[in-house]
Amino acid sequence: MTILNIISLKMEINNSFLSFKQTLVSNTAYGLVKLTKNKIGYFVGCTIAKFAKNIYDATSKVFNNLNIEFEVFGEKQCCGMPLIISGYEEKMKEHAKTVINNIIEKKIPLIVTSCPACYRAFSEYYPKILNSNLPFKTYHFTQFIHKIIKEKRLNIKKTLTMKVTYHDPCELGRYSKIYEEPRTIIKSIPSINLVELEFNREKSTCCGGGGLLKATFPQVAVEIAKEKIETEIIPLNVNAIITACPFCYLNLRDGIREREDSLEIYNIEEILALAIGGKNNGKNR
Amino acid sequence: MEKIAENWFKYKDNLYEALDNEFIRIALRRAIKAFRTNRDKAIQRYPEVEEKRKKLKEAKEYALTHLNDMIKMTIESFEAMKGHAYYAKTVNDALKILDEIIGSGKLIVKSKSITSEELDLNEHLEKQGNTIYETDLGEFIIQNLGSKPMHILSPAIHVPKEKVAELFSKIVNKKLPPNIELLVSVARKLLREKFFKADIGISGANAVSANTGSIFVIENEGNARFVTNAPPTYIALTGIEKIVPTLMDGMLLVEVVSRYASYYAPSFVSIISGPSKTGDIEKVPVYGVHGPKEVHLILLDNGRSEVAKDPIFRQALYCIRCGACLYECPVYALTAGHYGYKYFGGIGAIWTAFIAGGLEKAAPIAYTCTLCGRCVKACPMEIDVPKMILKLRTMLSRKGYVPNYVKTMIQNVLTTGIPY
Repeated sequence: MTILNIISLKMEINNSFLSFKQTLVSNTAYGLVKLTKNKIGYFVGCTIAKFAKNIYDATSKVFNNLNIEFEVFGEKQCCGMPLIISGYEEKMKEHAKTVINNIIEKKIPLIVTSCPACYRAFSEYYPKILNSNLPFKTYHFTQFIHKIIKEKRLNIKKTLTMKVTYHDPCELGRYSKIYEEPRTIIKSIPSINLVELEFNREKSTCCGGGGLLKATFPQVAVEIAKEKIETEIIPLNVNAIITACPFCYLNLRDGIREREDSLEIYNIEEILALAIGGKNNGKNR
Repeated sequence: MEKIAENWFKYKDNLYEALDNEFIRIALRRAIKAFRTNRDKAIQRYPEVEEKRKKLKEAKEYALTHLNDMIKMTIESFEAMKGHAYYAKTVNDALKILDEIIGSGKLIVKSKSITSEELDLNEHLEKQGNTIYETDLGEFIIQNLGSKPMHILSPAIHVPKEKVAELFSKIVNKKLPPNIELLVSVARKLLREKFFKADIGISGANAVSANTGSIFVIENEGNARFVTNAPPTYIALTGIEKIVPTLMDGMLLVEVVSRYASYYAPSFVSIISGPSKTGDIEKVPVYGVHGPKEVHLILLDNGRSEVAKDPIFRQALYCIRCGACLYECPVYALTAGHYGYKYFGGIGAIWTAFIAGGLEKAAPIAYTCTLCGRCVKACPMEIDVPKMILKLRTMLSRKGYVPNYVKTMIQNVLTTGIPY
């Protein structure tokens, strides 16, 4: 009997992961060093896979540099957050089972994702909807790299002389309370000058890319980005905005394009990939 | 189905038009900046407001989970003070009560009341042959422009001084320069005589205390004092969610709402518990001295008691109308009152769905929220708007009020695995 079968069987019996005591890897027993010796999973998510492959490319460069073997999930498998935010929560349970079983089947102990929406699906919604902890650990990319930095395994070769600011994505910040990890990562790059927006961390203003607005009223979404750029970012006189969310990345990028600003935008994986060097340093858009 | 789509696209057109409206953009930018500065100053100067808002939230919670008792107590207290109090289950009930009190051919002065928007009160009273003057300056501008309010506190937030000058010039038949002080004095002169000629004054209420039956009216302009005091008959129209258990809870609300609305203190607070009276001549009670002889309080339900039963949506009724959420909303900053129907912003979607408008009108509003959650941080009552929006969207999806492209997206997720 495969693991998948065992799980679905147990789930059928109790409709819960709780009964599945024998989790693949205990979340606490191993440090990250141990976890990353095994293959990890990178849940790329449908938005990055479809619209922001540059984020995926940068992530693979970072993982390769760290000698982390990874398997990609979620290229053709949405995390299900669109179901939640558009009012179809009841469809999430079945969907979540499919997503999770794919990962469990591959015996992956750790999932990293660059998408705050996917991160929330894994860390917040799946356990709630399935009424159980997942048998693998989930980190947002910024949490994962933050831990790597703490273990002194990140080797940055380049200096990046630029003035940047960081936009806290709503789903990573206010919803997941991840504020300091991305900042630590940016500050770990020599010569980079990180200046804060007037409204940062839990007071961060929305870029307009969330909540389906970009699907329902796209022009409102991009105007919100333009307004944020105009009133908050331009006065800082920075070279680049860094963010850590494909929706923020795409919407702010659209805002910059419509405004024809010379401002650069990077998702955090990209700035890190630039700093650790290696070939193909140019932005891949 | 066609009607749903039609309503959706009409809303979208308005929203997009607002995006291109330079007046809205500039006025809102200024207003938001000023609001944030002043609110922070007010909260810094009175840091105890943090404790007070929590106490107020408890009081509101109590009132909303004991609504029937609260309504009963309010009516009893108000009538004990020789006022007339009514519970109106529906808009039609409220209009019937109003018609009986007002009749026709009356001159009415009115101070700002969003609740009256639920009744389309001005249109109704005009149809009955009455003349109505909105006396809040912003509302006065809106009324004469034939436009709709764009903010709960500053209804004419989107109208620049040049446009006001043009409008007032037409009213007084004389060319007026866009000098704000001058324009204010024109309104003062024009309305002053109306206050004293009026047969009836109508206002909303910021709070009503159940234990004393007292109506709280908060204002800065001084118009509500005249409206509630000068005409012989005064009518307060308010939602049942405005009831707080005690007079002191009402005071608490005055403090909290002012600070979060960016004021140290409101210029005027009127607390009205029944008609004016005297016993100064031989201790004989006489009603109607300098203030009104007749005072009526209409408590409007119009869906509120149903909302109060739902633990998630109930939060919408905690709203004390400080407007703080709107100033922190990324969509509102660009579209003002076009993001909403009679009530605005994300919380407006809930009010539209269950109180003023219906699900069809609420649908596009609900799908305009970015769920960013900034309003929750700004709200003194910690109302979780995104959580309510998600629940409302679930309801809308079940009843078929979801736009086709969202439906397609969901279908894609369920069949191909990805939305796009």
